Amino acid sequence: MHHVIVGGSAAGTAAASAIREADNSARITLITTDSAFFSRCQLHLLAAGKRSAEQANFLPADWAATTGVEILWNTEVTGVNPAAHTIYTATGESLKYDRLLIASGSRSWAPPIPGITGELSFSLRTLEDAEQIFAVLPFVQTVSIIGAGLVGVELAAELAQAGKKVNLVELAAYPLPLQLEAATGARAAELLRSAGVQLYCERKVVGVQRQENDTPESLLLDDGQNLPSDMLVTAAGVRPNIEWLEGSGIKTEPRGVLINEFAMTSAPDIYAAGDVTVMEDVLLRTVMPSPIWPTAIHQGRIAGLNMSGSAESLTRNTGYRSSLNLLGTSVVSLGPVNNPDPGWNKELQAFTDSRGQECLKLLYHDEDTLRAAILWGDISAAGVYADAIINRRPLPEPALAGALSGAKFGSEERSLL
Amino acid sequence: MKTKIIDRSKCSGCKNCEIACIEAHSTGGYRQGLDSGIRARNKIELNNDGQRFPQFCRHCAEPACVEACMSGALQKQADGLVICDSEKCVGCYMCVMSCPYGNARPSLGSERSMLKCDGCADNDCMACAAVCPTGCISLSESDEATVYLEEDSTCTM
Repeated sequence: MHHVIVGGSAAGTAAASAIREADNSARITLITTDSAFFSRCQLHLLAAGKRSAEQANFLPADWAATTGVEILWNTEVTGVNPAAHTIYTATGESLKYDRLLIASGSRSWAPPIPGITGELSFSLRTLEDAEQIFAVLPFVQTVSIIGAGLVGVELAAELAQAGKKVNLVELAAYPLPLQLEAATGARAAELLRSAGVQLYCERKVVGVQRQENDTPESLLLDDGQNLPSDMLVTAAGVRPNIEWLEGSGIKTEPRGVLINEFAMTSAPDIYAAGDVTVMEDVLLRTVMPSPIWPTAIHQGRIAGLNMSGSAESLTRNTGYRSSLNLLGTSVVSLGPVNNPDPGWNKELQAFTDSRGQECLKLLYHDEDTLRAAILWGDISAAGVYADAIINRRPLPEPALAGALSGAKFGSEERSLL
Repeated sequence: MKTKIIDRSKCSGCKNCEIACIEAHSTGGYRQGLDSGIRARNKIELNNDGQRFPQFCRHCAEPACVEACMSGALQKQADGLVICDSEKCVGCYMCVMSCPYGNARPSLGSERSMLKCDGCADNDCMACAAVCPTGCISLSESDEATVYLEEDSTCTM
């Protein structure tokens, strides 16, 4: 049995590990456009020089040897013929497979803004992106970042801490619009501003002016403001890498390859996992991507097992879980906080934890069922909240009572001390 | 492997297990008051019925914390223990948001790193079990790291 995996990040490598676990003799070929394994979630740390490329490898150094996976680095797959069980690479080679995994991920998307591409203009999606940003940092003073999602905010925080002047431009009313709501968004904005980030919310970049040598000069906003900039980073979203599937008959949607609960695509013997996929979200009941690391690993693992003959199922699939480090403050967002059901109750509690940290707990609940939550500061029970939201489990009563009334859980806990 | 047997009906809520865990993992002189940035890797919580629930890492067969780990710090070892390599951990805390029992926690010190039970792999005895005065936590040998008598999997806190 020959398994071919296209993509070498979370989903692809998790699938390869699972296949090897299930079948000691299977041949596994992993094809990736990358030149090394790296954790995409650490790219902001690499760009700021806090971690090396070697440290960003999320796999044991001897992973390829111990799993016996053949790896084709720096190799782009350009097409697939499901009937012939064959894929084609950019260098004109073809490879037969018995089972294929599509784990080609997604890439950074640049909005159609005049002048957005050019010298000293980056995205932050690959090891090379991070290394290039780190290499030019000593030569730039002002960095403008388009998009205050997770990538934009984490990079802005790192670069501001590294002493750069940072402009951060966001279409929405507050940073991290997918992870936060108005109250927590305002607090995030305050934190970023206190770290020196110049934040421009509800603003759109309409143009990038460039010097004669093609490096950025300034960013023009829709309200006429002009932000002098030496360097530009676009973090305005991603698009799935599905062009190579065109003409194959594999069912895709604009946001990715459609998979079922077994991680199977519409084509026989072809599976898909990770950021390149769309499937039904268990919380929203909508077919959509679930582009987070834990889900990519889980989908990859389930795909790998099923490619090896199992029938494991992705029953609780959701991408509505985020954890971020906002200038040292831990924040966890769970459930559709950006799109709550109007019937849910919303409750915001502010409290100071035992270490003097100002914390927030924002809960959306439907009678006694937790639907979504934002934990700010004290996130230690985040996994319990996530389990309650995703599995529709009633939160343990003392926790829910504490969650909803504030004082009760605390006093009961203290009574134990 | 060494197995922690938990009979939660015997828990008196004394929290000796939490203190023992802190002390066993203290490198800075906890008894001298020098090590404040440290927390226990276990916790006694109240369950749905208001009863005490000693919350210990299960070292799960398919650990959600390991699946969530983007740095490779968390690994399920061949001996069955789920261990965090704090050198590799960058403190993204996706494990914290993924453990349904709440047994992956942020550290309290200045370094961002997750904290979890390491099974006292370096010690002869598990510190929490050694100090338990009621027999709630006892040690045995089996294929699992942690066994709850009358497990109530929905009572995670």
